[in-house]
Amino acid sequence: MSRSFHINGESLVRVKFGLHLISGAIPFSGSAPISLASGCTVYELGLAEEAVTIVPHFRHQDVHADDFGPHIPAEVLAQLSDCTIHMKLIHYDRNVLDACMGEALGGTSPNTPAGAVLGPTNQPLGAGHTLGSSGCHYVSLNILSPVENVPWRFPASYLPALPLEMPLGTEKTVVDLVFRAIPYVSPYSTYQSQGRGTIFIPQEIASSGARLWDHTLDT
Amino acid sequence: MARSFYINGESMVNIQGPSDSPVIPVQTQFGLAADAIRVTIIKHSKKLIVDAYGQDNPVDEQVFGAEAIIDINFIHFDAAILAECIRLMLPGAVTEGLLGRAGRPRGGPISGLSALGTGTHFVALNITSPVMGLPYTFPYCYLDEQPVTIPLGTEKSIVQTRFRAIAYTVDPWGGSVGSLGSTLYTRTAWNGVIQLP
Repeated sequence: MSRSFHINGESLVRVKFGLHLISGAIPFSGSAPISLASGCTVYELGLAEEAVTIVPHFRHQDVHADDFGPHIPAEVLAQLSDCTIHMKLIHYDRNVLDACMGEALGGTSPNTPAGAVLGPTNQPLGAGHTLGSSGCHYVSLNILSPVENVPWRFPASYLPALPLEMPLGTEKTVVDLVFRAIPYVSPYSTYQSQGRGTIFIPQEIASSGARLWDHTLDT
Repeated sequence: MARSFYINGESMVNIQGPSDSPVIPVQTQFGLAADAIRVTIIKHSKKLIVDAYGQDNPVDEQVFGAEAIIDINFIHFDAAILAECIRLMLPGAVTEGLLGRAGRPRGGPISGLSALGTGTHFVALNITSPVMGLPYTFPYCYLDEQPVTIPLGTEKSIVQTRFRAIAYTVDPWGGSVGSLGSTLYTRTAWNGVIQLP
């Protein structure tokens, strides 16, 4: 690839939820799914007022040796990374946004009339489930790239604390929010047992091979 | 087309409002101007600056659509249509002189409707071209800025109006192509019906 200007294009944001939100237990009245494959459904979250900003946070730790003095490390350890995705949504699906907020709270009811009814504290978002399976509250965040054709997918994302701002007034409500993506790995492997259904086998949680992002959209 | 003098001719302004407009639900003659009708196309763009090329020397340009301004000084016109245009200038207004709800979008109550459908507040303007044969049709217009100046006295009132035309759309995603193909204006021949996209 030679040098060029990079123009992502009209960056529509889509999300894919765990199967528990597709079972019909939590309706998306009026929201149109994009596709249906293997029981999973992708929804349009919306369009942003400005650029969608992706900020990786690479974590490192210095290793000091006396021979190098107190300030300059002799070695640096790479200690994984997370990523924040900042967007100001202006043309969006309120039902889908409510569901993202509900999943970030550990899987509360996202229906707008019910409001933010909280579940028990310390609810794990992954809860040992594989991404996209029923009970996994991470959302897969997709950012389309119709011009450059290099989309972004963050398979394990959630809405952390600040900012999530929703101004209410006579002007259009532009929702200022940040998704956080982590390299989630399920602590279980599974296999299907005849007569006993899905069997969960505990496994070591290894960061090697954990995916923080890729460039393949959910279907 | 060979070179020639550009003479538009006797430029009648035709108008069509939303389907629920009590005055202009279908295309209607609006009026004639006292002088030339001025159409100004405004392009929106941002320069691409690369330090290697110089900070004040754009190497390229990104274009972000366009809009148009149509200045018309009406001298022989339908006053009821003018009043209706002023009403539609304020989305949600019940009659001329009243306001609508603050923040109401022009395209519809909340999520936008197809223009010229019920509940929208655009007008379509057609400027005929009987000599040149190159009319203008702006499907999505509204009175804007200092939109109307109405002199009142013993002399005839030449009403100065300024319309703004935009390439309105219900869904800015456009099926992944954004504003590609959105209509700002057309130059199709007018056969008695305003040609809407």
